Amino acid sequence: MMQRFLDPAVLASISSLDLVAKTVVDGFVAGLHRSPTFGFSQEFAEYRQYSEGDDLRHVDWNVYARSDRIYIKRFKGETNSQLLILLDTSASMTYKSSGVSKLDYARYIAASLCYLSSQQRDATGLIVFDDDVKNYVAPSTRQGQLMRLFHAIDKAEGGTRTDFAKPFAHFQQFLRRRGIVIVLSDFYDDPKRIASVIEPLRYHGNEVVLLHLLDPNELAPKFKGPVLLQDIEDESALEVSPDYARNEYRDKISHHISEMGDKAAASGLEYVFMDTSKPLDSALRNYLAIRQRRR
Amino acid sequence: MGFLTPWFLLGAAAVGLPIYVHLLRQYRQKPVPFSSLMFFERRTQSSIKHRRLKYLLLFALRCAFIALLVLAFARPYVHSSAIANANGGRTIVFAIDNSFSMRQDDRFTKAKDAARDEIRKMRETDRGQLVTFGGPGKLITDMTSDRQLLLGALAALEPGDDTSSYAEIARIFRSTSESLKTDIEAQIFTDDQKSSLPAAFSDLRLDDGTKLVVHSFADKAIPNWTVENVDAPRRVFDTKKVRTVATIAGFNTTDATRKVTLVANGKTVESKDLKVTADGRATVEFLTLDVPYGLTKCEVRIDSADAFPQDDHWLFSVERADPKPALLIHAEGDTASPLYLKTALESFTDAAFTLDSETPNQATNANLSKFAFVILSDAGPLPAKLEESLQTYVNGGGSMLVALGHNATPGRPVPVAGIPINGIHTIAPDNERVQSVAKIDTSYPAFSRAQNWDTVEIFQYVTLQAPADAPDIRIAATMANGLPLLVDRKVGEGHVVIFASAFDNVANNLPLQPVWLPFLEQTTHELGGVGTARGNYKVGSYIDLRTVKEKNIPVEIIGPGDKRLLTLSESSKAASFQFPSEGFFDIRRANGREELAAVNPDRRESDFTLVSQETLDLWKNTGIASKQEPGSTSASGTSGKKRDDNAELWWWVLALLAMLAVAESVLGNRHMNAGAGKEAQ
Repeated sequence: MMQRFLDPAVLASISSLDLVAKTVVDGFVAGLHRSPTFGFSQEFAEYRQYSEGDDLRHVDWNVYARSDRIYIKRFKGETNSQLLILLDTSASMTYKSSGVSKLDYARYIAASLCYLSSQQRDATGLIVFDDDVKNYVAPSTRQGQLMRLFHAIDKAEGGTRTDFAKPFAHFQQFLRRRGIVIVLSDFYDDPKRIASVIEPLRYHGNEVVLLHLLDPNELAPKFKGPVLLQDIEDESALEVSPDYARNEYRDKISHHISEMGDKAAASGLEYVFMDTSKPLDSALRNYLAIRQRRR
Repeated sequence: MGFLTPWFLLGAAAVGLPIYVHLLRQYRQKPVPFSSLMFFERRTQSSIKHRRLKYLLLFALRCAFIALLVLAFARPYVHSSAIANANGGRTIVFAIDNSFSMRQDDRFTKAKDAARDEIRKMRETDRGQLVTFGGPGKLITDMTSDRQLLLGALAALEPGDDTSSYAEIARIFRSTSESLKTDIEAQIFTDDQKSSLPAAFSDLRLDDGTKLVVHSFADKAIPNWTVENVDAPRRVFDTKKVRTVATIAGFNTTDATRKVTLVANGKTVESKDLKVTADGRATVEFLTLDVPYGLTKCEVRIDSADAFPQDDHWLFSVERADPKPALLIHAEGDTASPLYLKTALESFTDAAFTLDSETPNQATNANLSKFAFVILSDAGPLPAKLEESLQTYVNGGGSMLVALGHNATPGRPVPVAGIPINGIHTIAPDNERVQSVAKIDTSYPAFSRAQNWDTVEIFQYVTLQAPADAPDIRIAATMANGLPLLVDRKVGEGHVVIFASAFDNVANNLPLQPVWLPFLEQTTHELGGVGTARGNYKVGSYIDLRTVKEKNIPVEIIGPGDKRLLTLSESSKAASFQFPSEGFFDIRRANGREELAAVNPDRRESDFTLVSQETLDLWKNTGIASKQEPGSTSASGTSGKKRDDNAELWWWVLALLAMLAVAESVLGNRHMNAGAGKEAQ
């Protein structure tokens, strides 16, 4: 029953983004109870032996009393991860063949991740970009952060064209702490170039996850006759025959997806492909399954 | 090929519309937004070509539609001759003159031989039709390529007794050319009689493209004498008073004396020698015709000794009968009107009637049915029984002549006729002018030979209240003051003729005027039923067989050789009959009366004067101007006529237009559906 509400088209009818996020996450969590093999924590707590220079406020004195060893309690402090969501709002993300657009789907994912993260007291931030940084919400665990994130996500609207180089160069200054960086985009660019642009994020110890969103009609376009296609971003037009769309285009997009996966793996980036016609919980499940594998 | 309204071709500029739509606005389809064209390539040629081909087909259909629409308005045509000549065949009309003159010597046989030769010369692709024009034109065969059929029909042709007319055959040529819409070759086999030419040369006009070939079988005008006419009474009442006048005419003849013989029932009654001047006419009179009672076949013959004996006699018929009694009812003491009337009736050449004069009282008990007609001459008030008898007599078909004088009673109607008498007016000699006859209806039988009424003066007349618009009343004559003088009223089956003055030489001077006798003769003949029947007819003329009331009552006609000429159906239905040949025709009418009609050929056929070669050449030339363009006026007709000669193609263009419209709709619909599909994408 809950699955039905995780359908992106159904979620689109819910105007409140926090309600969408709750619906997705609660439904998703409810599903997890029936699957005990899955965990949803991003980090788990640990004790680290005290070393010089550590803040004495973090010493677990109870352990010291029992074992006479000084351990630093990192459960509340150091294990809390920082989650930074990079939301691509380029014009191509507004495309939809039916149901919800890729941007809306990405907004739902982003909101859901923000909600999930806030449940774990993780500091969560958001960067909205297209060919430049459009909005930035610094990662924080402060009260009201979730609402700020939802507000920023809600305000995210389709922009111009995608250019990863400029905004990603800009991201470097925002990343003070290492954490998890999730990039939500349709990645209409050369995979090699995308990997080369995003890869530096990983050098700072970040775990970078690429969530590749595509509309079903982008995967398998169906045209009954010759059609004049217009690029949403640069408004260039091209006459396309149905034969080409049926055969060569599909090969190319498949190759692009697989190359994205390969280049991401080669660069140490996580890569998750998402079909916007699929329910959101399965998208989250895929993401978390990857996270689990890394654990 | 050409166009009848070429200005419409300017509309071809409208072809620019589909050119604009298809070429200038082509392929401006609505673009479909797509996220990225990164993976698309411009490798769509084959598909676009296919679509362009479909669009070009639609474009071509639309251009063709407009072009054909313009073409239809421009009314294209092709010369029908071009169509006819496409298969190389000629269209020939063989016109045989089988008129009376073709009986001369072996002219008709020669004409048939010549026609036979021409038919045999026909090629396989030629078409021919056989017509005759000795009388009304007759199409003997349809237009056919079957030479055997034409030869068979030709062999069955016989010369007739009617008159040929070149105007008639020219009309047939025109109508054939117009109906077939092609050039024709008209071959005439004739004896070139000048008398066959119409009064107006324009009646000989041939359609453009008609080639006239005249086969002549007379090289010179042969001399010929003929009995041109015989004037004999239709009925004979007194054989001693019959006057028969025969006119003998000579055509291309010299001075000669001919023997003229009057024959009755095959027996010679009298013969006379008659001197006829060169190319002239002369009349001969026979003063006795002793024939038995009943119908007699009579004939006037000449011993012409010329090359055409067929016209050396003239047939006529007479009927001998006793004079019929007529009743004159006059006032007591009136002696004038019986005198004038009786004297006049006895002076008629045929003396068809004897007159019994009685006063009203004497006539009261008379059997009126035995009288041919009754004259009521100012008789004054009639006894009721007499008036009743007269009413019955007229209702049953009898006729009555009523003269009204000073004995008429104003306020009372005319006996039997019922027309009210308003008053009696007597001219005051000092104050008033004498009335004259101002207007007569010359079509009225009484005035057919009595038309000079200028000297008639009327001093006293009766004013009749005769409505001019009543269907059964005919005002045949009026006086200068506009009042009716002679009124004819149909009563029952009979007639009452009312003269608004008396016949006593007091009320008017009519009985002393020259017009008195012909007027009274015609009137009494009409009243007594003598004057209506004709005895002599021309070949080809018609005779009325029945009145409306005699519908379905059988009529019988027995022609020469005792042949019954009407079929069973015709005998009860035919309203008229055309005399086909010379001879005596015994006609038994629906009312039981028997007539003998003598039928003679038209004597124009006896004149063998030839048509001049110049006239024939002119006639041939009327059909030559065939290659003119439709806009120009031909020598013999107008451009409007020329249009009929051309086969117009706009019907075909319209049919093609309709097909194009359907094809355009289907193709356009498919494009629209495809467009809608793309939009749905």
